[in-house]
Amino acid sequence: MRGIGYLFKEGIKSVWNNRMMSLASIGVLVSCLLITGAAVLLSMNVNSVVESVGKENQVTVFLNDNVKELEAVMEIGPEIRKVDNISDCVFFSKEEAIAELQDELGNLFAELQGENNPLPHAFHVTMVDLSQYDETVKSIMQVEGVYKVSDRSEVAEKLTSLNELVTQIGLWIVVVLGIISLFIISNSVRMTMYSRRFEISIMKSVGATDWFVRVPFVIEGVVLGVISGVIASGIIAFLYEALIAAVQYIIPFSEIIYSTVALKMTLSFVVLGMVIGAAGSAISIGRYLKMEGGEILGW
Amino acid sequence: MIQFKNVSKTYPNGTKALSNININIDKGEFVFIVGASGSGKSTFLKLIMKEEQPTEGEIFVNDVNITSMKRRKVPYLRRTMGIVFQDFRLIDKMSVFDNVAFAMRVIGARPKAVKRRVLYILGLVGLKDKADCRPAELSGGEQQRVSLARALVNNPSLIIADEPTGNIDPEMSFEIIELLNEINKQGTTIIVVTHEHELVQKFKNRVIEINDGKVTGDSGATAEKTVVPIKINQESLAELPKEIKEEIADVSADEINEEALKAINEGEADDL
Ligand SMILES: Nc1ncnc2c1ncn2[C@@H]1O[C@H](COP(=O)(O)OP(=O)(O)OP(=O)(O)O)[C@@H](O)[C@H]1O
Ligand SMILES: [Mg+2]
Repeated sequence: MRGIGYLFKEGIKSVWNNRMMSLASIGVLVSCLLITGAAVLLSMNVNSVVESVGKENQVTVFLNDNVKELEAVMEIGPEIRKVDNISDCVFFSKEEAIAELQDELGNLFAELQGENNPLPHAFHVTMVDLSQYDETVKSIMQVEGVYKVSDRSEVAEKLTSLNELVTQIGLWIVVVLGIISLFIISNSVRMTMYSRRFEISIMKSVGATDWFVRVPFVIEGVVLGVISGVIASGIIAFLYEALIAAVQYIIPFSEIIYSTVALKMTLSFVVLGMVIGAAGSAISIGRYLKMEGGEILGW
Repeated sequence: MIQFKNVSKTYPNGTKALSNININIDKGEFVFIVGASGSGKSTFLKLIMKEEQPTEGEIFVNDVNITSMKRRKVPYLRRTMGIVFQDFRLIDKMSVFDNVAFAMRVIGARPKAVKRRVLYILGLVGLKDKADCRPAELSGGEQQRVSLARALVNNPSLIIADEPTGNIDPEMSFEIIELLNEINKQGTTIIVVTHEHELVQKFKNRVIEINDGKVTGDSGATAEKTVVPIKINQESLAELPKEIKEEIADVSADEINEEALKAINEGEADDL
């Protein structure tokens, strides 16, 4: 569209002309992006920890109560070994199990020896490929005499639910902060519009289309968004690296290396800033576009 | 060109500004609107440019019923009009040149066409020396003429002027009306609101009197005018720098306006 150069200049100029308000919006938008980014990074890290813990690829297969040791070793063991994706299957008798418990918890279980032992016989099964975990468990369950297969390790389970929680909270943070930023940007653009209401009324009286009136303000919003996106991605890169350097000896798990997500992060910040900026200005412009001369000027 | 059919306008606060107006203005007419302050003259003009909506009746501009016109189409209606506001409405932080150029940029004219056309029009209203001034540095009469220049720049087929002579001495008023008369001779319809009865009497144009929101007098449509080819204020044209004179020599007002409009149309079709 011809005249876009002129409109673009107008948009940039107004960021500068209202620099106090622009600065305030950039500040708020940067903070919102930082918190959002922090939430995303935390969730990514929890995720990667969950994955590494989940790699503990051993499960315990408990047998029915009435299965005797001989039957287990001679019949059920070989059946389990036939299931795909199993590399190892070691018998784990109920005597061994109770002994292990006693080691951990002391003499509490003294009476549960021999005939009173409530534990079933079991196998320790190691899988080759964890991604086929569910299918493998299903096949094992079909072997006669199998009572149940232990779930993944408790830590992994807890981490998975923590991960879900973190993701959920992160999502809410993004939504809430998105709305706040939208509000702030739309307010900033509304200030510009108010200070330029006179021009808008003249524009309209000489036959400017809504599109033409709108563009400089949308550009203003987008410029604010992009600037905020760039600043926020710089800050978060710096803070994250510093934080990781500080805690890497305390937390043993492998963390996300920032450089592997830097591009994605920067791009999403800038795009998010742009979208919020454009949407924020679009919101406040709508009102002005419907008004005419005197109304715009408040006469 | 303009028809008001049983038009009434009551403002939301209850002020009855116009009641049951019936007016017919033909293409090429030059009409004075007179009447006491608060009688509804500005309201009449605002209805024509669709800045206000009538509460009753219908308004036609170029045979189009603008009462039911879609909002989206209003900008294109306004591009056929040049409007001089009672209060000038000049943008203080822009130079005189930019104030006039603004009206062309808004409709998407090419920068080159803008420059040529604006300098030409400023010459026409005798302000080419003031092109770089701010409106605040001008006298009331000069600001008035900038406002007029902005109304003329897109070569509209209708010019609406609300008290274009309100702030200037009688001699200057006379010159401005004279200029509008010249433009009128090319076929442009002109509506001028004024308080100055002397001025009205000097020119033998149609006069419509509005009082208390009603038409209380109409001298009737003037005799058919002969359309004279462009011959506007040749002296001020002669004062223009040589290179600009050469540039504009081959570009008539119509041509530039068409160019500007074509630019918009193409732009909307291709570039968007
Ligand atoms: N936006 C508005 N809201 C409410 N009342 C209005 C509005 N604009 C004008 N009026 C009222 O409508 C009436 C006609 O106003 P208008 O501006 O048309 O008068 P006018 O003939 O142009 O006066 P003047 O010669 O002083 O410019 C007045 O009583 C005025 O107070
Ligand atoms: Mg008035």
